[in-house]
Amino acid sequence: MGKGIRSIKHHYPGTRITAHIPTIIIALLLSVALLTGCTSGDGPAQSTNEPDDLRIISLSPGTTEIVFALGRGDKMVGVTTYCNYPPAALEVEKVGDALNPSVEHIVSLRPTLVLGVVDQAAVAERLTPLGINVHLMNATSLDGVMDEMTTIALLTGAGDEGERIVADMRGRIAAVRERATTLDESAWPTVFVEVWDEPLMSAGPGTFTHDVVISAGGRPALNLTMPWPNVDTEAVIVAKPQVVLLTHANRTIEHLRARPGWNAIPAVKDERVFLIDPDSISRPGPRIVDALEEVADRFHGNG
Amino acid sequence: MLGALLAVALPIVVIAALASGPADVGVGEVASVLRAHAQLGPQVDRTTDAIVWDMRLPRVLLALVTGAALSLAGVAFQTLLRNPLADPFIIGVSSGASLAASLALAFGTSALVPPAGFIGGLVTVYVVYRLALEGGEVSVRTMLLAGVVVSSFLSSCTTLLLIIMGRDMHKVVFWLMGSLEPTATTVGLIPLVTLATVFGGLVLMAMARDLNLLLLGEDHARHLGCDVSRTKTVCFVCASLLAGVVVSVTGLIGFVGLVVPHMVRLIAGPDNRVLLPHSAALGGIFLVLADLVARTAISPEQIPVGTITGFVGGPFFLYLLVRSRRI
Repeated sequence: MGKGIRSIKHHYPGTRITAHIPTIIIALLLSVALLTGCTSGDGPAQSTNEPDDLRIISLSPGTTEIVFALGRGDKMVGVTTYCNYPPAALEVEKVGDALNPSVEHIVSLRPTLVLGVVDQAAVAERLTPLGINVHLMNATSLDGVMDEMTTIALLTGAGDEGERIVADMRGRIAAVRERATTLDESAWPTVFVEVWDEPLMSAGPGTFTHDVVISAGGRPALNLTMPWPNVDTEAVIVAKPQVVLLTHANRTIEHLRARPGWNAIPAVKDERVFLIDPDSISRPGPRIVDALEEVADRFHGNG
Repeated sequence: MLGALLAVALPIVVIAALASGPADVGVGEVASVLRAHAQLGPQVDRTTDAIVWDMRLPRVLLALVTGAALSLAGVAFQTLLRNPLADPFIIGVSSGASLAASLALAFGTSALVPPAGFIGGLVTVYVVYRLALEGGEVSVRTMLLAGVVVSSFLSSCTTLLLIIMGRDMHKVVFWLMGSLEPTATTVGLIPLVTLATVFGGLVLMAMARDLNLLLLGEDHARHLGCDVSRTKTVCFVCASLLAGVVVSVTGLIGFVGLVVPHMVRLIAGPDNRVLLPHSAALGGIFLVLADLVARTAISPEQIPVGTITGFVGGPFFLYLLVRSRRI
């Protein structure tokens, strides 16, 4: 477990983006709104509670999905209004939205464990002095998400069953990677990920959307450096991506075809524009593995 | 001298902007595309055509017109309010437009944003104008105060709306940051924006002498034969129209409207007959250049243009300020 957390910290120091403050605002908004992890954060907190008196509050959709996937949903006493999956999460009491959870409401529910993402450090700083165990997850890659799931399994006392669930997911990720590496590099399509349309935004290094593309056997069509950059439309046309993944529901292939110059893009010509469920691909949770398998099938067929 | 410099710089900057971008499409290709569209040359490759004609040209044109409109509105408000800190958004055009645009995004579609922004901006300045009427005469002091208060009230409303909207707020934040990249909705509005800017600019130019008199103070202007009330109203309407049209299409692009008029004043003096056309030209050139940097500096990624206008314009303006003090 410790090894996993350290390896995440090494991934993306995130210093380059400091030059672009408005971009950071966007990135922060996106990262909190879609709740994708970001840069450095706290190490895992130690579980000190007996499983039986466990009262969990989850402040992000990703951690909510993880707790339910680990079979500990019955210990959940609070979630945010963004937590829309699984359906059982809708029944749990709301403590506000993920951007502005109510500290007072959280405290009033007497949680023994609060889970969230690293962007929510401000909330954590107010809960920790009250003796509440807080763990903020910090995953910027698929392996990072799996390591966090292992940590959360431990914190929530998910036991052997939890370990088995995470091991199963790691196995599925490994299978997709295995399949990609057995293919010839030339069979890897060049890929453009459209995270947002107006302005046109993509996912760069430091996001697991990017990791999903690479793990599934795709080559990023653009050489990006920022996590959530606003990109030049012209650059996409020049890059001629063979596949376009839409991770927002604003547009379809018809809209893309109507954009000037986009007809010349192989992905549009060959109808290889795919909508991937935004909640699956942009949340650090168990469904990221579903998204990975779907993307791999889109790249290389169902074989 | 400044005029000649701007006349030379304008076409050079526009051509440089048209010939720059991630695609390897340079001056030669730009020329062929323009020739083809003027029916003077053969058809060019469709992708090249799309890059020059559908992407770069609208964007450069929008930058040029926006820079000119914001600078003209800046000159007009600085003169009207006799306040060097006045900018095109000072009496609430932008906050009214922002609230209306946010409402459009929250309850409608993004296609509604430009008309909503335009109406929201103009309704706001009309309210401010009515508040500033004292016995049939506009009091600029009241206008300034009312404008700032109405502005911050509407900004609070927008913030409140963002909080209530929750998840969808990033759409609004993008809009508030301002962008010169035309969207499917706004690309068709560029001719309209151009027309409004030319019209507003010409009306202001026609009043340039009266605006100069206004700078002397309202009583002096009246004694010198200026119809002060009419001048103030027309100037106010033109400036609001210019700012409202631009903000509804590009969102908020700061700094240009405040600083460009001052740059021209420092170089060419405060005479509005000189100040207005030169500010329009410099504003256009400045914004085309800023946008060129914004889209090419870290290509294929882009920097918000407002960051560039402040980053480049700020130090340059301070340099002019210090230099003019020494003379």
